[in-house]
Amino acid sequence: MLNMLRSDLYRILHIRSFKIGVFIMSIMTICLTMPSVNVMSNTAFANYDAQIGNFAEYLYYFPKSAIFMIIVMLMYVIYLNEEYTSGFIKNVYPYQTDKLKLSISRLLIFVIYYIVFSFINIIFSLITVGFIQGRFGTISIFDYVIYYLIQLLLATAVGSFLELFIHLSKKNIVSTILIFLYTFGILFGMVYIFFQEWFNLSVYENAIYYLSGTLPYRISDVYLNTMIVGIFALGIGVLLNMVILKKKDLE
Amino acid sequence: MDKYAIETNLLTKKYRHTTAVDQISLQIVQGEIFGLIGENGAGKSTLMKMLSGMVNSTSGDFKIFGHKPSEDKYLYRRMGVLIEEAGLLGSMTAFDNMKTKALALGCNDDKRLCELLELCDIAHTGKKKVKTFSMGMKQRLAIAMTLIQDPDLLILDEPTNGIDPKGFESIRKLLIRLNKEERKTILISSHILEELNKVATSYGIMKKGKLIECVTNEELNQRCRQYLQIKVDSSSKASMLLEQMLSIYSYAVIDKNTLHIFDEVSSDKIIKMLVMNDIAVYSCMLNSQSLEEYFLSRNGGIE
Repeated sequence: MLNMLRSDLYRILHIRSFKIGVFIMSIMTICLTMPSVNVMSNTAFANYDAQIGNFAEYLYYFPKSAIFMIIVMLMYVIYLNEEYTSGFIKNVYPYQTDKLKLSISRLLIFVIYYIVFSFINIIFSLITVGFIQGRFGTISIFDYVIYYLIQLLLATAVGSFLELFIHLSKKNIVSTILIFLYTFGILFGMVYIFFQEWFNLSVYENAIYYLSGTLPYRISDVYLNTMIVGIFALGIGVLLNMVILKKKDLE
Repeated sequence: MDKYAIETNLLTKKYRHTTAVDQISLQIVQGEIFGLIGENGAGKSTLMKMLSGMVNSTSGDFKIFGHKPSEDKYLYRRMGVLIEEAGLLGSMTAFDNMKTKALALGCNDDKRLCELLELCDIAHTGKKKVKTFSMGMKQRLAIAMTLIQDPDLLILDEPTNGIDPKGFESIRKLLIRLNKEERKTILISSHILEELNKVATSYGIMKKGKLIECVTNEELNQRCRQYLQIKVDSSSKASMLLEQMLSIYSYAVIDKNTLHIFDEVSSDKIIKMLVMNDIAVYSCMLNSQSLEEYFLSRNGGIE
């Protein structure tokens, strides 16, 4: 798995899509944090007002913003899809006999993208909101790290299903649809209607709500519920990927 | 050391409506260059894919160097595989493609990667992206990539696709060198049978998913050698006379009117002897069969 990780890191640094992704993410971060630039900066579950917002608020905002998630997920789908379309999987996958490790190694790419693009957000927002606009705000590092990790867990769980769609379809269209459904909260809306209508279950009072990307700023029981849901979903995603990698032929 | 590089036991691959590979039992001795021949859709690529872990078998099993893949997780690292497409990342350079695969396999020797690029005559490409490469350059890079982990077994499906005659010559020399000097076993398929004939030491002929024949190069040369074809009124009587009168034992009775004589004997002498013994001779001609003709005769035509 370590070998795969080294190989993936080398590849990420040498492909054009990564460089383009870094450029777009940098521009978007600057646009989202500059009060003079009018960019739609919120989804149904995440808001940031560039006129009055501070750096601390932006740090809580960006992990659940649609733009951030779309770029991370698209980069991930493009990366995995290239392996299939080029046939490069034949050069690598058969040598990885432990398919669980292979599945996890593929998911680590998502984590790498997430962390790299997070750094871009942090650095550029620190410059624009913090140093240029002088609005730092206050933040508890410990609270934020927990918040960030749970948000990363939820995103990775979604990433595991993106990986599954790529392995199944070998095309990026299904995954791309899923990205937009998730990031704009449409998927959540569908889940909400399903549970509300069919089971008379209040989604807002259950952890599934937090999979939509909305997390409170402070640690509470909700974090624990969300973590359980996230780990469970991630586990299912990884196992399904492992089964698919084991059973599916590389044609 | 196990004698066989590859052993398959009733290896079968079925898709929904078709049987791509049908109960193939095959042994490839270590150090051989085994040429796999067959029509399109005969099951060559599927068999190779099963052996290289890309496709799961429906039934049967196989061993590589005496081990089943489930018994040795590093077994596939002893194999270099090139099947159908080259599988290259178009947005990267030749070296970056090599490096990406090498890192995934746990090899991190840049010097060796450069040597392999040199060996396959692809080192001059520098920072050129692979997507701008010609078909032959891509194929040569793909061959270089199969050698990264210094494999003991090479599985090459149509490795000369898109390569010009000069390029083919260099690949042929490379394969022979790898086989002779480094004792690498090679399983290779190609549609250019005459070229395959220059490298392979034995052959397997596949037809409709089945392995219909396995022959060594010596056996094949024996079967493809020059012969005298004689058409007579009775081949059984003629064959007796050939043995008794001219001590010719190397012949084959093809049908009731046709004989193939492999011994180097003057045709005048044979005809004279047959006619004098009341055998009507309709025709007599010197023939030889190329490898292609031999496989055509075994296969009923190669596409």
